[in-house]
Amino acid sequence: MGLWKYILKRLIFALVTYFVAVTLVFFIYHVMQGDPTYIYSGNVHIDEDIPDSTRERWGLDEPLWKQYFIFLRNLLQGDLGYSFFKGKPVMEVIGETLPWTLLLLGSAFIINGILGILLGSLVAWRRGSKVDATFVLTYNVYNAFPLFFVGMLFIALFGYYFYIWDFPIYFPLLGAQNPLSYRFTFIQQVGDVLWHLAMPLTVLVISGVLGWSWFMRGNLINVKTEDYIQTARAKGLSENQILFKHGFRNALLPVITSIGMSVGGLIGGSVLIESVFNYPGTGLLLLNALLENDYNLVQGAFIIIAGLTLLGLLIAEILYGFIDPRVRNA
Amino acid sequence: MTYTDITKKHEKKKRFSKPREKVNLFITKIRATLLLIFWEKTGLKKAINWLKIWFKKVLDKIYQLYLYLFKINSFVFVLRILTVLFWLAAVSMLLLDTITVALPIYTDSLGTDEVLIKALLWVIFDLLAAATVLYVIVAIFVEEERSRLPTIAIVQIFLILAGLLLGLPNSEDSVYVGFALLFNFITIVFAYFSFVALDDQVKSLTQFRKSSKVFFRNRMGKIGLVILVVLVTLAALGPSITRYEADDMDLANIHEGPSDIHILGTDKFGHDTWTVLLDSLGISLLVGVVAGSLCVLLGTTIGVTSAYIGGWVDTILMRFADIVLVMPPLPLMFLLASLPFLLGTIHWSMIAIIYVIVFWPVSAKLIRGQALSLKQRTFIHSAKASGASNRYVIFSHLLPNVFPLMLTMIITSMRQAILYEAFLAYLGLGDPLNNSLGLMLQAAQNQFALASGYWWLIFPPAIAIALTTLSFAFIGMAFDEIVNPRLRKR
Amino acid sequence: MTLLEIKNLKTYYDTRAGVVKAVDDVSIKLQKGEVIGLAGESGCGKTTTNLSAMRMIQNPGKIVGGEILFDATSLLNGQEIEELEELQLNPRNILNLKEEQMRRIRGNQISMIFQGAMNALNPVHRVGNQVHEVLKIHEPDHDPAEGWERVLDIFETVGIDSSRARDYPHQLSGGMKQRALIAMALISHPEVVIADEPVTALDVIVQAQVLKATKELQKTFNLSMIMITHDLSVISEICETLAIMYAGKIVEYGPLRNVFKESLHPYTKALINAFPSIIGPKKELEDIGGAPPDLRNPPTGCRFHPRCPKVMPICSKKVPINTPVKDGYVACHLYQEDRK
Repeated sequence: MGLWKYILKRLIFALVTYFVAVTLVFFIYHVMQGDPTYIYSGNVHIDEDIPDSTRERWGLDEPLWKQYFIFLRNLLQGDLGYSFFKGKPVMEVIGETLPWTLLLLGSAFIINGILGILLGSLVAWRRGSKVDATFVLTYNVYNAFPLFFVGMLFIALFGYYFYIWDFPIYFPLLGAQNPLSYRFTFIQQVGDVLWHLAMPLTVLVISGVLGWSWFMRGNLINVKTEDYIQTARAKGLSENQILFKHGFRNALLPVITSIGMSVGGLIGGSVLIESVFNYPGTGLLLLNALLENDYNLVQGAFIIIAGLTLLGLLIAEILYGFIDPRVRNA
Repeated sequence: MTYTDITKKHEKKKRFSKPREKVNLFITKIRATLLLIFWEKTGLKKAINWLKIWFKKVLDKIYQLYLYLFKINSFVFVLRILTVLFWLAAVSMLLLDTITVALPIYTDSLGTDEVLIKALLWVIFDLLAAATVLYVIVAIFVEEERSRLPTIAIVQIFLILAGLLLGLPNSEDSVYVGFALLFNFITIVFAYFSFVALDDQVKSLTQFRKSSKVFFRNRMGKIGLVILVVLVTLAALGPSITRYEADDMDLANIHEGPSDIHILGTDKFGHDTWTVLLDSLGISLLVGVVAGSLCVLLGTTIGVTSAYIGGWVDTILMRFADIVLVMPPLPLMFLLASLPFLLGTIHWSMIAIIYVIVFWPVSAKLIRGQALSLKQRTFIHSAKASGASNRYVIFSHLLPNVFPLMLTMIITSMRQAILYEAFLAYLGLGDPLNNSLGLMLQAAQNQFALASGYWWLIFPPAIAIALTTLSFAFIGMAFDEIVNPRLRKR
Repeated sequence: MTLLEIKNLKTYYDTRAGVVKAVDDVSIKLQKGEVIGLAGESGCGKTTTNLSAMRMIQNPGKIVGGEILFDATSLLNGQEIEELEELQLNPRNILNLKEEQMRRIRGNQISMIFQGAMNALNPVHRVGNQVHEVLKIHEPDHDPAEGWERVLDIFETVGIDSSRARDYPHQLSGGMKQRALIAMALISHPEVVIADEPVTALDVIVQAQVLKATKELQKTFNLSMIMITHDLSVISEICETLAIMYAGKIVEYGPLRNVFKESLHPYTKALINAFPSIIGPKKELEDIGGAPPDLRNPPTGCRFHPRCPKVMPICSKKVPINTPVKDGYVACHLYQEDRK
């Protein structure tokens, strides 16, 4: 019973947060910007009538509060407006990029989670050993460099120099798939996508795994000094049993909380990675839209990205409810 | 001579001076009348008396201060002197800012009315911030006020920030504000250690010594500190130790590798990489320090308020923090950076402010947790039970105990701020007018530095970033050991 | 019959600041069905002694000398005993056992009751499961359903309603948590139970209930127990034999009555005088002057001499040996022949 109440509470919180985020984005743009069609008036790519039809659809001549409700209504219908630079509805533009972001983020998320927790447990349980010392050093040195710099190195080495030096394998410089991939067979297409995914994913995963295992390590070190670990030892459990039966689950609790928080960070990382590797995801879309002043697109992309973050957070919180009995019964 | 002899002699004298007595009496009468008229009626007596007492009091205070300063060891004494000096430095920076940047805009009537009003407000806020120094002087002399020193510095920072925000479109050239903020931050740390933590109990002194011992026993902490000191020195000396200015263009040597003329080579405009690097390093460090410390200070203020007041204030503040916290940070920063009124004027201080807006909830939540657990402790209850005011409890018990955690978080936050500044600069959302490490990397990328083999364009800034963040990380880890004894190696 | 014998045990902590001699030359003999109370100030080495007995000393601690004799040969197979004998090691000395062999003893033949007020129960597992876990480890091929029955049984025995076995620790009161910990220690029918401050931090009424339950259980199962506490009233309630520890050494050892009524060592006297007695005549409480010594470099000779009211020149020069008195011993120069 308690669990369902908890889930409902988190769901409501997520929805409220999302609503606030959407409102914030709307007002930031409309208060600061005024008429979004104004700056496109000189753009040759746009059909002359579009601004007018848009004005009507989005009620741009109405007062701001009315515009807000129109915006909400359109949002509920899945309409995020029109991107004048791309010449397509925002939803369509995002729809093209979203699968790539989901692929990159989803696989990074899963690999990070599993490897990070395992590695963190390993180094925490061998605290003070060489493995641990190496890990601490690696973590700090790797994280000292900005993520995009690592990406740049990867591109230069595995993409450019491997190709020049005639290595048996090299990786693509940009993109998510071969432009001619529609001619490939299905297996070839999958291989092509994976080949393009490899480098961005690796960079994202290395930093993610290190970060998560760092966090897991810290938690386990704390948990190891708890009294129930000694109780377990007095029961006659071996160190490995203690780790998995008693230490692990307790150390995992804060990790799971931070999974939710880390989704935001991961998305930030993916934005960087997408822009370094020119990977056509939503993050890159957002950035380009920003630099091109394509406000509707910025707004739409942010709304989608915020939605993704909240979804990740919600999943993490529900997971937390399953693992920690105290939350359920509180 | 016997006793009677003496009395006789005295009587003789008395008798002899009798005629004079009348004169004396007369004079006394006149004097009394005059006094009554000029002295007491005009209030001069009161004034002089008051002055006398006041003078005595001041002397007393000075003497007490003297005793006070030398009772504690010389280290703390030096620290206190430094505190005051830094404070004065911060204030003089603000005055400089006012005189050289803000006031001319107003007096020379540059720009529109709006700009003028903003400039005026900027001047006012700067001066207000500078005026807080008066309070500092009071606080140094009055013991009860002393524990509030760090808080005043925080107020000062907020005032500066308000001034900065108001005068932003004009403040592109004003580095003074940044230095003022930096000095203020140092002052807070120093003031805490020299005035607050050591004020009433020697216990804290030993605590402080113990903490510094833990810090310096940590090899990483030491390494981090050394790296940071070297980097800060280099950045502070800046282009003055190189042969060029940051914007000098040596067009005869474009894309040259490292040589005698250019220690780290040149880019495609002939800029000397070493000079640009030092210039950038300064800006990056400044952004890191300002953004990181402001973020945690704001977080602490909100966290402690929220924890202490509790109830609906707590609920609202924390829900708000949650909402900001769950938004993806980098996209949110994009969003804020793209606000139209900022476009084209992304000054480094704006990046700091954006960072603060996005990341304050992290520290607010952590500090709130700590403050909540402190609130349950006995010493807070006992302070309240003995009639301490809320203000006293917060400033004398809560804040000093939150401080170590705050310091750790400031270090972490600085590291993160430096990285985020680099991210934004790399993605083209930084300050295009000032050099920064991220911008250098972006420029290198645009020149295909790696593929063309211009390694000197890409590795120095990357390594500079790495060293900076690494030093902060190491110092942060050493601080962590102080805060969390479980991490200490026994 | 002597069940557990600790002989000249030495446990040191090798810290950065120096070697802490937490337990220095301690000997205890525990008979079948006997309850020994181990009393002393905080930090005098009580807990370290007992953790050593279970070989649960964590880094940087180390058992550097002595023997712990406990017949656990029934848990070892013939080959393992032969191996030990080949190395000329006594299989009855558990310090000679491998860690894996030691684990078979822990929680099975020697178990420990921890302080329930602390975090001794894992917050994320059900209490019943945590008790059941002991059976799962030590009787791997028992029927789970039957094992659960036993868990419920032992819960009833220690005085918790068996329906609470499916609760999480945070749902239990302090007294119940303590009882659950007792259940955890008793479920495998151990021969020796070590109770580490079992009733500290419980309120007085609950304390009395738990003590009573412990006493009854001890009678029913004929348990041999070592009871660690700094509270002498707890000891007088339940123990038969009393050992007083000071700065890593046992200073006086003997039957409860003797130690209480005719205490010999000045420290014991001081300790007893420092406790109020409700029934007896009102008297001025006396505190022991000074503070416990720094165990990194303890005082030479008798470790109590800096605080001792009856200090003699010899006290700072020579370590007192254990002088046998009625059914026990005392380590004090006052009672030694060669004190002059």
